[in-house]
Amino acid sequence: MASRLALSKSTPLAHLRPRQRRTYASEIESTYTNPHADQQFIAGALDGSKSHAVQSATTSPAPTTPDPDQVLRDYEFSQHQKAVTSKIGSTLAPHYRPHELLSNPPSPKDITLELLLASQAHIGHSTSLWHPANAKYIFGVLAQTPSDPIHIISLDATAAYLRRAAKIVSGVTERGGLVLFVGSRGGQASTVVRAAGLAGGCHLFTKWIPGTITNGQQILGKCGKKVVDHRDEAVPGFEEQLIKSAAVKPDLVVCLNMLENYVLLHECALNNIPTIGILDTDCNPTWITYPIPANDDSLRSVQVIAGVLGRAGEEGQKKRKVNAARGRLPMRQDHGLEAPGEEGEGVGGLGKEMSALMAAERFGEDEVELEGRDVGGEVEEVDASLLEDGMEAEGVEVPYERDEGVDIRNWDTETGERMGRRSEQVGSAQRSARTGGSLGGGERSHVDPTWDGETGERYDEGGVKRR
Amino acid sequence: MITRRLARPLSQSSSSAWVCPACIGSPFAPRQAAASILPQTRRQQPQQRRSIHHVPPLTYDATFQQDGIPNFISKYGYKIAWTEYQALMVQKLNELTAGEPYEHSLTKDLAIQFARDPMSASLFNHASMAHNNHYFFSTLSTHPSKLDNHPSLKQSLISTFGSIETLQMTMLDTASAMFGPGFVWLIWARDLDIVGTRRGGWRILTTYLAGTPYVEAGYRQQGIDTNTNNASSQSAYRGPISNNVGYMGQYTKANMDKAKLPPGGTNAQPVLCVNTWEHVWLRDYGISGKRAFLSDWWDTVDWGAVEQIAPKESKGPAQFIRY
Repeated sequence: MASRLALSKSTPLAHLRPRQRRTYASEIESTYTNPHADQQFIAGALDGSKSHAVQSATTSPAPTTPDPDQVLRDYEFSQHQKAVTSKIGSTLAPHYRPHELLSNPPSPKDITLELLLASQAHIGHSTSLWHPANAKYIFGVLAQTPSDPIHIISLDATAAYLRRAAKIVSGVTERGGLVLFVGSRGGQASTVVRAAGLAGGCHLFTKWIPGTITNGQQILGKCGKKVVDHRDEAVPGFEEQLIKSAAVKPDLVVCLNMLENYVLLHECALNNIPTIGILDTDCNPTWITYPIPANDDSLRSVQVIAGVLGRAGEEGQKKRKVNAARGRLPMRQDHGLEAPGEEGEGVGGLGKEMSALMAAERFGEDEVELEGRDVGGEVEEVDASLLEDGMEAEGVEVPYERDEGVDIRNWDTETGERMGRRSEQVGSAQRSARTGGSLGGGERSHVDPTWDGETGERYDEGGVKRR
Repeated sequence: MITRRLARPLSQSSSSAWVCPACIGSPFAPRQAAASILPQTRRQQPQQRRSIHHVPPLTYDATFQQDGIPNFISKYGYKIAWTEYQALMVQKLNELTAGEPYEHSLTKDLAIQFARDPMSASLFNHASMAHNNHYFFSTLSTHPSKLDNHPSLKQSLISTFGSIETLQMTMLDTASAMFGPGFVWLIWARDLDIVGTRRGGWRILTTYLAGTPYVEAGYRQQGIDTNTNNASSQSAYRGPISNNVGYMGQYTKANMDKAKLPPGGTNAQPVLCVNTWEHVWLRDYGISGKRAFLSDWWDTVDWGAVEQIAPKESKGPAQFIRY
């Protein structure tokens, strides 16, 4: 007994007596790990059902990557349920759904007077604000209040001009042209983006920077350019030439709000780029090439018109791709590019700055052609550089047949200029308007849908080739 | 009494211009004398509004109108139960939604949107009733296909109920036990309690009057007869009340993180239903013929149509819900 008591007092020396070692609670607590320590809570229902221990109610479960099969099953289930149950109950009459003008815009074949009327395309402005040149598009006057009568646009004119504009857009895109859709009013951004996406063109929904066309080398000089072939695949080897080449100009501009875009339309006219615009009763019809008399203040009517033109561009793109797959390429390809590796001397050693300066100079060369004209008088002398038949006098056949790759037959090695040269980046792009005696933004039809690709002969009486 | 939802004078919107005597003279239903400001011709002109909701076409509507549903409902009963009743529901729907922002909504969307709005109770009732009635008639056909012709569906049902006889007995007994009009549904429901699994199973659901089987409008499921239940049994039916503060309950981080519904998804698909409103079976089976009506219905169900409505995962391998 005494020995035990003695032992119990000498705790630090317990290790010397392993036979009578005692375990203390503190030791156990320090070494023991409760296997159920994580299970702090028992979740479940009040009646004890669904009870299972969870590690912690405050921590979120470990994020697991969703099983892709499960996601697919969920999607299929929800789609099936939506499809089955939405048709049950009653049949809804067809009605206007605003988002469908963007998700599924109408086609040129869907143009009806009922559609235009329902889209408020016939509503013009107050009669005191009208432009008298639009008189022929106006149906009459609506005076719901005697103090504020408005003009009503004639919808058969709207339909006819819209169909013509659709044909123009599809014709341009069929020949590989670049269409620019511009709409800078509120709510038109998604419209122009969608239309440009369908037509394979460009969009603009903010302010047009003045000089983007006339001073393009300055404003668009830093933009990337690429050369594509007839299959829309990028072609390498033109990087040096692209540095020197001028900024791209659109081949057709569709403007949804003419009144706010005078500068854009003027620049297009100066550069003979045809423009299509929605002509309200207070707009100036001389600003654009192809008017579409309609209401430009109603977003619904603007979306219908832009949707139709976008669909027309889509049809043209489809035709172009079909033709390209069959090897039928547009005839004229004035891209101003040389095959890589065959550049003239003195070009390879230029630095980037010099190349850019040369590009700027060449950009202004289009202006040189204009100066050659007799402004104000009739055009009798046509500048030699404008004549595509510069080589014809020598008996060289003009290459109207199919182009295979880069065509350098009409390369004038003496002057270093191409006949009718124009800087084009897109391989098979065609300019739809030409200089040569044209009044800016004139009435000439720039894109002739009856162009026969096979013979390719379009001659004026004066012997000047026309497109 | 007219429902409060109608904010327009009744004479303008409804072709049936009955107004209870207490309401005549109120702003909602002015007397004809007050409305005589309008020219006589205009007042007598019938409502020229183009209707948005129309009676949905049934595949076998023409045959049913001529010969009725074989071995089930005569052509007179069909006329009452579908042609006239669905037209009535659609007409009420048009009146209640005319000019409103939801006038182009589907009946299911209307039911879900207004399930918790007591001021729109009438709109919910008519939308849900139109939906449920069409569901009932969409599984009936002239030459119904037997369940044996759809083995995957049959096997799936047997896995849950043990046998088809059990399923039949359960559904028909449930329908018989319901006192008053309503629907009995066979539903495929997906169990979403446990994250990462979507185990689904068959369930049988009752909805009294115009209750809806959709979980999103669960407030108006009307699955029990409130007249025969007290507060505690009703709360048990509604489910346990979970604490909304603290570390347990639906507002904790853990539960908020748990997806309640799969992305863009839902968790219940009604597949089959029987309409136990008296006007459906009264003419052909008499006042005491509910049982006979139900057993005839079971023999007339077109299981081919049911199989088309049923989701793909319900016809796959057997799935169980374990509690």
